[in-house]
Parts: sequence; C-alpha cells; structure tokens
Amino acid sequence: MLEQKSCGMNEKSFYNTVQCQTFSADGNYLLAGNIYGDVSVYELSKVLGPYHGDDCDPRGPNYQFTAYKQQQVHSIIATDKFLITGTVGEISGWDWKVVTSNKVSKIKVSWTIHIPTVKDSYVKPDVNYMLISHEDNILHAGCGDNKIYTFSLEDGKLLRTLEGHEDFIHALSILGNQLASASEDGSVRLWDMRKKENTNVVKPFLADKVNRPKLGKWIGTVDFTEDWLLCGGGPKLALWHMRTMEVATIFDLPDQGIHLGSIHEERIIAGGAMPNVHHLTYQGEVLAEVPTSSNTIYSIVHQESPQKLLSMAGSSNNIDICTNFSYREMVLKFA
Amino acid sequence: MGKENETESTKKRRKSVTTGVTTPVKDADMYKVITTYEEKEAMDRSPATDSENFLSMCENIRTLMDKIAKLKVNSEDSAKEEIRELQIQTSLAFIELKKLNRMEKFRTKFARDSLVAAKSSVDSRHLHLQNLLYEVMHLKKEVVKCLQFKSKDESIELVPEDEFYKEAPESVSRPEITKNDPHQLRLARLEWELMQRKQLAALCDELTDSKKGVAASIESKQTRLDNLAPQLRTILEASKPLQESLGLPLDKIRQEHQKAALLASPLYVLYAKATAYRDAYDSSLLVSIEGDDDDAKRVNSQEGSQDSDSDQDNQTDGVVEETPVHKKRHHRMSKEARLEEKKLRLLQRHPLSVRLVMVFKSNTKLTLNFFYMSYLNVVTLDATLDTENPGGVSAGDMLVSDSVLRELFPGDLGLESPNPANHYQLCRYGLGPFPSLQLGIPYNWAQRMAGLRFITSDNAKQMVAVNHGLAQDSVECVLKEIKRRVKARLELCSEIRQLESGNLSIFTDSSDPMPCKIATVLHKFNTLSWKSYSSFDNTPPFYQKGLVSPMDIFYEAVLRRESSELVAHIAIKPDYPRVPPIFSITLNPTVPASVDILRDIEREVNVMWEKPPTLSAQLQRLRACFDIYLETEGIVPQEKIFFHPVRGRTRARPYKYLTLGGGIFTHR
Repeated sequence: MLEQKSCGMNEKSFYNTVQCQTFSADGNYLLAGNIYGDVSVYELSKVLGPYHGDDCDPRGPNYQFTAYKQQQVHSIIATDKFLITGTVGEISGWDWKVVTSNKVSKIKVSWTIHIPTVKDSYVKPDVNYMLISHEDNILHAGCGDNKIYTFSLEDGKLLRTLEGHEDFIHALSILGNQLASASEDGSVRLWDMRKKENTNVVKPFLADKVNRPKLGKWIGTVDFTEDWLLCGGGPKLALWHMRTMEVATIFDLPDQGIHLGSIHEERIIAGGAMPNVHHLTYQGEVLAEVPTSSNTIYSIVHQESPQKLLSMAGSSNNIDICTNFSYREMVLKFA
Repeated sequence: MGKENETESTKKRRKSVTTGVTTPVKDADMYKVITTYEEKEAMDRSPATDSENFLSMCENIRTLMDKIAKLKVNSEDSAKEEIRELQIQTSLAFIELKKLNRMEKFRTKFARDSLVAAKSSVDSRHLHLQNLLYEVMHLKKEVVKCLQFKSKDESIELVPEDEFYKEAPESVSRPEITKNDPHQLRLARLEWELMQRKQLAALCDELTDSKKGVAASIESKQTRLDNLAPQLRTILEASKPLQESLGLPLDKIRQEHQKAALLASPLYVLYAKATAYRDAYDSSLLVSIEGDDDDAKRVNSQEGSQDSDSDQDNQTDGVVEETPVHKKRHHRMSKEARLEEKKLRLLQRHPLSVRLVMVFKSNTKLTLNFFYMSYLNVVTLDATLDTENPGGVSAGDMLVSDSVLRELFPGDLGLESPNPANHYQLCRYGLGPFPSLQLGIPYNWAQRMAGLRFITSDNAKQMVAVNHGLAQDSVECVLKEIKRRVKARLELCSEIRQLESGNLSIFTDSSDPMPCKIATVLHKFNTLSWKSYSSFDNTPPFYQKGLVSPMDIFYEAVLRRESSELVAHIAIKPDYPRVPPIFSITLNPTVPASVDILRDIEREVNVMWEKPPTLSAQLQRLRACFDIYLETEGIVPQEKIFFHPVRGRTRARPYKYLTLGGGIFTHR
C-alpha cells in the first residue's frame, strides 16, 4: 500500500500546478501554494546554500503543510505576523512562528475571513489575488464573484467592496491610493481608494492590435506605474499610457495567454503560456529569455533584499529560481 | 684231592654201573641220565678246586711223564713194570683230566646260560626302568600341565565379597568356614554365582520363551495383516467407483502425498502451504504434483554428491589453466564439452513440479506450474491462463499468461532472478539474462511462498520486500492476490471487449459520481504496442518520469464530438485496477488548446479520484471533460449545467461533476 500511495503521489505531483508565491515580510522565506491545497515553505538562506543532492532530484521545501484538504490555494501573501492564504470563499491567516517550525504539519489556522456571499448562491467565490497596503494595514482581495474586497487586517472587518467587473478578477496591482484590477471580462479597471467608483476602464480586446480572439478577451495580469499600465491575457501583453489610455508598446511574445506581467525598474517581466519568461524593455526589446519548468507561468515574485531573487512558478511541480534575473539559477521541487 | 676225585669217580662208575645194570635197555636214556648227573655234579663242585685239581693233575701227568721218560731212557727191564704202572697212572690222570675238562665245559655252558639268563633279566629290568622313567616324565608333564591349567572360575566375574555375604544364604556362604579359608570362600562364591546364574538362565529361558511367544504372535498378526492387504486392495479397488461417484479423491490424496515426499524442499513447502490453503479456504483450488517419480528419486539420490562435485569442478578449472601449451588443445575440447554439460546442469529443473489450478467462472482457469531450479536455487513459475472466449483483438494481449501475473506485488516484474548469486552463476557460463533462458518466471512472491528468502542489493527494494514480505509468505494472501488479479483482468477484458464494440457501459464501483449525458462518443478503441506508444509526441514525459513502463499494456482511444477529436493513449498498469491506467491525450489541431488544457484534462482523468477508477470510469470522465472543454470554449453549444466556464487564475474548467439537481459541473 505504501508503494501505491507514493505512486499515486508521483502522478499527483506530475500534474501539480503552483498558483501563487510570496516572500515573507523579512524576505527570508519563499512560500508557494498549489492546486492541491498545500503550502511549501523554503528558507532562502538554506535553499541558496550548498546542496549535495542529485541534480535530477531538485531540492524540496524546508517545511510544508496542507492548508486546505479539498480546495486549492488560490493566492498567498505574507505580513510580518501571518501568512495569509486565499481559497474558495475564505481567507486564512497562519501564524508565522508555526509555519517556519517543525510543528508545521500540525498547524491550525489562526483566523479566517469569510468572503460575503449571496445566500442562495451555491458557488462560493474564490480569492484569486491578494494585495496588502502596508501603510494602512489593509488587505485587498480580488475574488471570483467579480468583486474586490478590502479588509482590515486589524480585526478582519470588511472595509470596502469594489464592484464593477463583469467576471472574476485575475489580478490586482496597487500604487499609492490607486488600485488596478484585471478581470476575465477583458477589462482593466483603475480604482481610487478614496472613491467608491472606478476611475478608469481599459478594455484591451477592443483594440484590434492587441486582441487575439482565439485566446479570448480575458486579462490575466496588470501592473502600473504613474505613467504606464502593463496588462495582457488573451490579448497581447501591452504597455498602455496611463493618461491617454492608448497602447504604447505591444510586446510580441510567442504566448498562448499572458498570466503575469510586472514592471520592475524599467524592466518588464512577462510570463504565461509559453516556454520562457521574457525580460523586456519598455520598447519591447528582449533583455533575457529565461526557460522555465512550467508550460504556463502563473506566478513570478521577486525581491531585492536581503537577497536578490526571482522565483517563477506555474503548471509544474518545479519552481525556478533566478538570483540574477537573466538566467535560471536552480530548480526547487514543490513536493 | 686226587683221592677224592678217585672216590668220586668210582662212585660214579658204580653208580653208572648200577644204573646201567638196572636199565640196560635204555642206552639213550642212560646218556641223558649221565649228562644230567654230570651236569649236577659239575654244578655241585667248586670250579676253584676243579681248577686246582686240573693244575695238580697236569703237574701229576708231567711228573709221571718225566718218570716214564726217565725210565725209558734207562730202559731197564724192571722199569718196564714200573713204566706200565706209570702209564696206567697217567691214563687215569688223563681220564681225570678229561673229566675235569668236561666238567669245565658243562660249567662254562651253564655259566653261559646263566649269563644269558642274567643278561636277559638285565635287559628286561632295563626296559622296565626305561618304562618307569618315561612314566615319570609323562607324569611330570602332566603335573606341569596341571600346574599351568587355568580354571574357568578365574574368568568368572564374581559378586564382590561384601555383597556375597549380604545376599547369599547361610547355607551357601557358610561364613564360619569361608571367612578363614579363601579356597572355600571362592568355592562358596562360585557356588553362589552358579546358583544365581542358574536362576538367571532360567529367567532368560523364560523370557526367551515369552519373547518367542510374542514374536510368534507378531508373526501371526503380521501374516494376518499381510493377508489383509490384498483384501484391502480389493476393497480399495472396489471402492473406486464409489469414490468417483461421491467425488472423494482419497486415493489421489495418498498418491499425492507419496509424491510430495519426493519434491524439492522449497516446492514441498509450497505444496504443503497450498494444500493447507485449499483444505482451509478454497476447495476449488486444484493442487497437484507433476513429473516423473523415478526421475525425482534419481535426482534426489544424486543430490548428496552435488557439493563435492562442484568443488571438484573448481579444482579442475584451476588445473586446466596451469597446463602447458601443447596439451591445451585437447583440454579445450573437453573443457568446452564439459562447460556445455555444466551449463545444461545449471539450468536443470527438478523433475517434479507443483501445479496449482485456479478455476474461475465461465470456464476460465489459471494454471500455475512451479518449478524448482536445482542448481540456481530459485523457484520459477510457468503460468497459463485458459479462457473460454479468446476475446477481441485488443483484449488478447491482456490475457497473455505472462502479463497477467506481472507486478502482482509492486516492483515484482520477474525479470531478474531474486537470487543474487544467479547473476554470477549465469555470467560464469556466459548465459544471458534470466528471462532469455525460458526457465519460467522467478517472481519474488513465488520464492516467498516456497520459503526461499534472498537479499537484494538495492536497499530501497529490500525495504519494499520487507514490507510486503509477510503478505507474500502467506499463500492465502498471494492466491487471493492472484485471484483478484485474474478477476480484474477478466473484467478488464470484458470491459475492453465492450469498449471495442463501442459499448460504454460503466464498470465502476467508484464513489466518484459519473455524469450520464455525454455527447462525446468513443469512436475507436484499439491496442497499441510499446513501440508505437513511445513514438508519440505527447508520451515521453510519462515514461521519462517512470509513470509508464514498457511492461504496461497500451491502448488508443479516439473520442469524437462532431468534428472535434481527442486521442487518448492509455497505459494500463499490470496492477490494474488497483493502479489506475494512465491517459495521455492529444486533440486534433482544429481544436484550440494549450498544453495546460490537456494537462488539466489528464489530471482530471488520471489523478482526481477518490478510489482507483476503472478504465471505463476514466473514459467516461474523459468524455465528460472533452464535452466540458468544448462547451466552455464555445466550440459546441452548451448542454451541461455549469456556472462559470473558467475560474481562477489558471482559467480552469468546471470538470468536477456533482449529482446536484440533474447533475452539474463545477470547478475543483
């Protein structure tokens, strides 16, 4: 029976998909959640240290726990006190001290926020993307019921609900008081946190230059600076000018859908249903193409300190790690 | 003296005259009488005086002669008278002399006679003496003999003295005498010994008699038993039809047991276990021993010399290497021949094998022949599966006997001999890997069933072996497992037969709910070879990751909905249905789909089950997934009920089926 179980586990991990990643608040840990409801914790100092294992068998997590038995870990984020995971219908907080200890397998959830639902609805919304505004200690959650909820991390109270999207939220991005959301309905909406309504809407599928009808109109990712807005999904990844909402640069990538795009110091990092993660300039020149283990990248996280690190995860049991953004340094195993 | 002689002689004359007068008639008698008389006279007279007389006579004669001579010389006339006188005197003297002479003769004769008599008497005395001496010697010898004579009593072990006094009755021991007289003591002890021995002899006789009696009774009983045997045989013979009609295989059991004694010990263990299992659980299991008894007896008797033999081989091998060059050719020839012979011997099977026949429903039976490799010391298995219906084209492969029992326990492919020594033994004779030798398959569980244990070089495997060891030791578990496997195979077969004929009835006891209304149809279902399976673009990740192995059975299923086509390459694991089949799918190019779409569907079909699914259940879900995908993509009109076509950042499709209401599809 032992053998069979492990055999089944093999197949399960063969089909594993890592949907979300985050760094701990102090930047010493990398955390990742997958579709089977597990969370893997990597201690970066150990991960980057010498490893004498087999090349064919990448290094596994330092700690691991099952956050949800029957559900996926859709999103993950960390504060200095808690690890926060989002799944269908709820957001859970986990005590950091336990997450990074050997007692992690017996971990119990510290707190739970339930996403408000309409009573008759059978389907609970899933928490697809979470963001934290550190200044005012609030959590933004883009959910499957087309809404963006803002919770206070002090008491878990629902502060605001941003409504307007016509389909589920794929991704969020925040800068100061501005919040951008990408949705399956094909639109990117910009919100001012001080106002109730959204301030601006971009619908890339309406622009013929970026639209790709075969792949659909959904927008998988959004990021913005004060001047530029980066978004893509079914439509091609493109850089939009914030004030005019015109397409500035269209990135021609060999993708079957963009799931991730982020702006980092004049550099655009793009991932999706393609074999490489592309590093590009605003002008569309390719800076680097980093091969990945996954067919589709759903999550890229990066940090500068204490260690410069970029981690890419997606439809694979492997997580690709870059320490200098241009090439893959190593591969980690989710389970 | 002369006078005396004269008187005597006169007397004689007288006497003789008188006698002559009285008996004149008898002249001869006269002589005799005279002789007797003279003899007497001679004896009476002293020879010494006679000798003196003789001498004096002679002297007398001489003197007379002288006187005559003198007278003659004188020649005187007077003298003539005188001469005459003298002559007469001389003649008388001569007669006297004659007489004396005669006497002497007599005496001499007598003396001689007496001498002879004395001599003979001396002789006889001497003889007598010698006789006596001889007798003395003889007696001395006898005495020595007697002295040297060893009496039997010395060799008799007697009861110690103390014991003797304690046990012997007074009448025998007579302590007052024997205490002082060692001879008497000895006699008494001997007597006691004799008494005791007599008693014991009597006892012995008695016992011998009783023993004889017992022997006789035994013999009589034996003869009775012997007489019984033919009767029993006839009864047995007579009972055979009855046994057959009642279905009691009594005779067979007896024969089997006799045969079992000839089995190689591992097979004997296996046989014993199997029969025990049969008797305890499953009377439908047939356990039998195949092979020739006589061969087995011969081989068993040879077995004893086997060890020394192999040692000899080693030695001779060493010697051959050292032999000088010119001899080498000859040696090599014989060496090759010997090598060949040794090869054959190495691969020798024990002549007896154990056969288990498991009967399943619908005339299906599985025959397991267990062989014992005498020199390789492993048990090999030769399995044949007989089914009533040969099954369809694609099902045929499934029931190939080898594949049925493959990986009965995880990792037990039977490709290598579990006995690590065999690798070296085979290498030594340049023999190929085990499966190429056509010796049967050395499954691990077969060894365990036969009580053979080996250590594998691979630690991980060893762990597995230990974990499963207990289960495999038990015939019950193994046979159950085999039964389960064959049943599963038969079910799979009929399942596949159904699938081939396009019938999609669901063989499932799965707890996962199954959608019913599915528009996608199974267009084609056929078997694949490993070669063609591995040649597809989408399959390498599976066998590279070890999820699929060449040992699996491969099928291709083509699903269609309108113009959309999905091809699934299915690898059915040997341990199906415990380990579910693995689907690898592709879509025809007209259907837009990213790699991850396929990955999601595969995950849904391969992994997302509560319990290991059946092939049909998987196919059913695959059809549903294909429907859902096409409907969520808007390629075909929506027929299923689902709330969102895609959800989450992965844009997952609602593949999960719930029996809610009329059946809805949701996201995982």
